[in-house]
Amino acid sequence: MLIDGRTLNEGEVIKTDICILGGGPAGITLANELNGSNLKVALLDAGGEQYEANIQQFYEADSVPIFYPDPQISRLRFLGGASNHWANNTSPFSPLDFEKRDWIANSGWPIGYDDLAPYYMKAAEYCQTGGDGYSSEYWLPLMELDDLMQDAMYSQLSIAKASLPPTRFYVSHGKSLVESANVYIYKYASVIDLEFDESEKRIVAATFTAYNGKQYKVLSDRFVLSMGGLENARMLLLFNEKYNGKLGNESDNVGRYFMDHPTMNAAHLISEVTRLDSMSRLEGQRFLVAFFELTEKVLREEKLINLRMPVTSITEYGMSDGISSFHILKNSLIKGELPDYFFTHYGNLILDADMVIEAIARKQFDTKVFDSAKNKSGYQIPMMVEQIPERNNRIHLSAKKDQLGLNKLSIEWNVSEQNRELMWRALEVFARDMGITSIGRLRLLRERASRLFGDQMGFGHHHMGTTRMSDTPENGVVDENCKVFGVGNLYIAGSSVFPTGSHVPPTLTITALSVRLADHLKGTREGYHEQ
Amino acid sequence: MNSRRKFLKLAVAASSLPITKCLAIESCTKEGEINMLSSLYKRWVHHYGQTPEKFIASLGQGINDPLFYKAKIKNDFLIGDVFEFGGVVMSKTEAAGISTLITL
Repeated sequence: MLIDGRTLNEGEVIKTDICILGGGPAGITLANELNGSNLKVALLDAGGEQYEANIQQFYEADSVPIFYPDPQISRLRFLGGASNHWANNTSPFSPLDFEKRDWIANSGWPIGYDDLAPYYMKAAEYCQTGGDGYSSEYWLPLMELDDLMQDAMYSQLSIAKASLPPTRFYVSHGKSLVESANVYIYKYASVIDLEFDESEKRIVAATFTAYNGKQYKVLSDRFVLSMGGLENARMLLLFNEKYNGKLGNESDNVGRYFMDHPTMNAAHLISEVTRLDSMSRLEGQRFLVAFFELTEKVLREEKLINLRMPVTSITEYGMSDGISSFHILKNSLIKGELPDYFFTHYGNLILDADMVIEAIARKQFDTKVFDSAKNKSGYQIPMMVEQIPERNNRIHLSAKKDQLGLNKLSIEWNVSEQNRELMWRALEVFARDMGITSIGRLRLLRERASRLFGDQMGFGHHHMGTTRMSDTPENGVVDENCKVFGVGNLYIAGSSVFPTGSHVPPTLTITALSVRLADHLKGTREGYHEQ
Repeated sequence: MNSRRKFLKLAVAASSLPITKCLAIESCTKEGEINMLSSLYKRWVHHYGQTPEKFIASLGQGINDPLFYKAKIKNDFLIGDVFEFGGVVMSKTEAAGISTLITL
């Protein structure tokens, strides 16, 4: 059933067994898994069924680091959440992603790959990427890529899949909930408070508003926060203000270890292997992408982070060193500084002057000058970088408040020197494999580092780690069942529970964790006994 | 009109760069390539403490066999004997081979 929160009577109290706070991919998957059970479920979402600017504005942050994307743009505050604008790029985490890696501080999940593997298949159904898995052994022969890396020592090809058009979770999976006998969706229901019984260590009620000055309560046996990687932490920090950190924050972990996936073209692949052009292809209603990544063996031996490295062909214009150097020189000289690699950039500017002129002509005069700009020149690698979980990368509450009187979000985030160094080292290893396999030669664009980690840095917009999963409350916010430490009946769903974020987009894993959480809440998971 | 003036200004500014004018002359590009080879040669010598010619000679006559040459390059990558120049990660042997082009 779908209920408009604005139509409720002031002071109305909803009683339910499970209250899900947030209707993005995590919340909608969870509600679907509980649909048809003997549990009464209320799913509260802060938005309606479409984008509305006056609702979206509540995602405005107070302060965001330079170059980091505005959270008002990277998230969507209506049913379906960020799935309303995602690319549907999915692949599972690897076993190593869950392990404690002694060369990466704060790594290690309290669950292993095998704990989540049974749920990935169901997750793929929700993401509508098909039931045929992500196995390279299956897909690479079909894509005629199986022998491309047969001599490789350090890297391999893996598969990502996306449904076309991308799955909008509410559009695709909301109807069954609207027609459900036991799931009630409340739209325009923005949660503003949680009531905690300190003696019983249980959440008693959630209070929400429908942006109309009226407040309503939900009394529930169990609550699940599923508002997204930033909002889960923001709301938990807000709720904790009254309870001195007793809601999973006695060790000051909420909001910390914030991770994203920086994306960048940090290397060019010079190659004549035309099969690289068929690394991606349409397969019915799906888009398949083969991407390079390092093997588990070399990650362990060389103590590296992993990189997700798809390749796409690039023109002389796209590959131009001169244009890149022009921007680096311009940015530095404006600030009255000399950039690193000054003479390299100066030389690039001179030797690649035709492409610089081409860029100026395109930008200033909307015209093209040189035909050679269109010539294919190699491959770029729009790679996604694994980010190390670091305590000082965090979200916290600003003193400024939104129209509901709730503190706005502030973000502190950067890519550490160690993370950058590991990225370059990982690329060096990959470069060796390009030589071993005779695919080509890799050119590392080190001289562009100031822009790669600056104005040219892209993002997955994958907000992870802010309510991390751990064995102990000293090191995390939720336990292996996604239950908040110190609270008997509060759970968290979504990528905020990821202790590490791998180098792959998170939604498939978010969805798998939601299916697993649903089994836990239903008490049907093998080996599970509610305390 | 204003745009055209802007473009002319940019063109004049670009041409004032001392070397930019030369770019229009093909021979100048070749000179750039020779400079690059020269730089590669010097850096190789600096890195390995011997000349590329001496290194190649030490490989024996087999180096004239393309299959041997290819296998040697592959082995360089395998054992991590690589040389980075201008960001390009090359094998020690191929970098030596390329740099000696300057002496031809």
